[in-house]
Amino acid sequence: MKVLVVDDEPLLVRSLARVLVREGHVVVTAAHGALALELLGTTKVDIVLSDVRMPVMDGVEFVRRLREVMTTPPPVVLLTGYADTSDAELRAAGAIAVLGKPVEVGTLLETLHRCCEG
Amino acid sequence: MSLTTQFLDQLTHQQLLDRLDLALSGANLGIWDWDLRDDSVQFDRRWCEMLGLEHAKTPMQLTTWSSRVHPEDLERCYADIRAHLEGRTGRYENVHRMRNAKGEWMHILDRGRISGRDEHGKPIRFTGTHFDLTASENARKAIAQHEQELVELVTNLPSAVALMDASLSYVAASAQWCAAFDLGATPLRGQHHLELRPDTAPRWREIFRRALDGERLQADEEAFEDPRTHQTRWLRWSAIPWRRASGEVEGVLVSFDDLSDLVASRAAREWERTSRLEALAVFAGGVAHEINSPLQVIGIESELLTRELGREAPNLEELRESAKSLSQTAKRAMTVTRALRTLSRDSQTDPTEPVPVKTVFEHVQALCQSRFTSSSIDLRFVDESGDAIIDGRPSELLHMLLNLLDNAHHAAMTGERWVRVEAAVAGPKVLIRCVDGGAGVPKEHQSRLMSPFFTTKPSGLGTGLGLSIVKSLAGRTSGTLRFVEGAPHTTFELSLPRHQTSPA
Repeated sequence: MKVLVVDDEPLLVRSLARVLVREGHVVVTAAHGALALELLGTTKVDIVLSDVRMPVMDGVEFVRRLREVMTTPPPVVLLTGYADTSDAELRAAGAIAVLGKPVEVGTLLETLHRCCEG
Repeated sequence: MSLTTQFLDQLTHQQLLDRLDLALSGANLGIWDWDLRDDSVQFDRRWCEMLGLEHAKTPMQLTTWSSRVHPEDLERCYADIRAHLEGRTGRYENVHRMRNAKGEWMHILDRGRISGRDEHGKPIRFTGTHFDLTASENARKAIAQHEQELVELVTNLPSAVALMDASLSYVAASAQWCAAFDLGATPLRGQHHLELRPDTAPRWREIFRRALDGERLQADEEAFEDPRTHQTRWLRWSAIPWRRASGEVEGVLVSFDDLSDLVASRAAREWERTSRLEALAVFAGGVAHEINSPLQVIGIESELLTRELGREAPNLEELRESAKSLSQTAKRAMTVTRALRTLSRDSQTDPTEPVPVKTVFEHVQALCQSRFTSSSIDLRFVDESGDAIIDGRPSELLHMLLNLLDNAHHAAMTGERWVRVEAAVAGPKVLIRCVDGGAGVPKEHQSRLMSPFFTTKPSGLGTGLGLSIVKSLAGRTSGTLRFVEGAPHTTFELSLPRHQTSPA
């Protein structure tokens, strides 16, 4: 499957991309929500894995806007390192799943698969 | 000749003694009746018992008495007796010491009068009493000694202490008490406190009065206003009634210690600690992020490493990638925890040390970056100091910059979203400037910026201690904080002592 990884931390983006590629997936990346929206205008992906706290446009805003601009948006899994926004709020914004940082690689891959099939 | 004397003259010795004994039974009195013609003396049973002598075996002669009188007192006794017999005194009275049967000294109040004369008017009979003063004399001495010890003790105590009688006249006071009440070195004993210091605070008067009423009072920390300087002094004090053995309140013992300096330095410490913890709390959320992301990378890369190594022919390039990523990430996480540890440290008593500007910036960034990122505020560090080193305390430097950046963050939220931290060298100083894209500080606020509790932030978003703390922290290492007037953007400048490397 094709995965869009959205995160402002280059080191983390690189690691996430590496593990997904090793699993045989195709990976595209964006540094924040606005860039991701732009990219999705031209590229079709199966699933999005996005950070919550990012400059310019954060994960919550990104999910909202995504659902506004696309008729059939890809499912978005949010990866959050914060406790200040509850998982329920993030789901309410439109995330299909919420994972807390740091997450086990196994759980991450399993969640992406499940959400993609569902 | 008085009626009494006539009457006594008609009685025989024995009759006299019997009658007196009856009259005086119960009193602590012994009776003697001296015949001046032959120096025989009739001592009554009580007189003998007082001295522990057996009446029947006691020689009825003057030497029974005189041999027991303390040699130092005897001459005085005879002088007083002579004075009376020669008609110079109305009666004989003398206090002297006498040795009892056990060899102990007793204090005797000796009183007597001429009780018979011959036809020429010459005294022939001299009668009187012995009253045992020993008990009361010992008590008086014990009290005097006790009081002397008390005075000694009070005078030399290293606190402010005073012992006053029921009229609030001084019995004794320590040097610190005299200094505290500005009483000088005048001998205090017997002087009335309220006459010396009529301006004594009503609170002290109340304390004195209640202690005199028998109450024990104390306080661990109470503010008193000095009536002369109008300064507030924090005192730990106690006041207790000074009681005689009988339980009667004789006066009051008051003591206090001036804790003002202690209280002030403790308040300053608390103040700074609170502000530091506040800064920590403000940036703590960001710190969690700063730790969680590296942990996520470490989790992924170690998993990749394990998988790669499990293959028959591991791809060296992949292994190298993971190792590089792990090492970079670990470094970043370590910077965060170092910065946290630095900020948590209570370093007020530490000596200053050389702290590179670079390290300070790294730590500040580790704690701040994610907060600025999530607010979409561009945070830049511009170090033009050329690896300059500051003489300071890492925790204080970090604390100061976090406070400045917290203000800058608030300002940038309502203006252009950028904040710049710059470093430069100016002679023996390192200048660190914090510049923000906010709307600027209104002219009318500029003079109050650094006063404690001045804040323009909404309630709950700041105590207003930020800048005043930065100023006081900077001052601790002879640095300064100033608001740069006329700068194109809001600029705060810290001027800090630059570490001078000793010439090679």
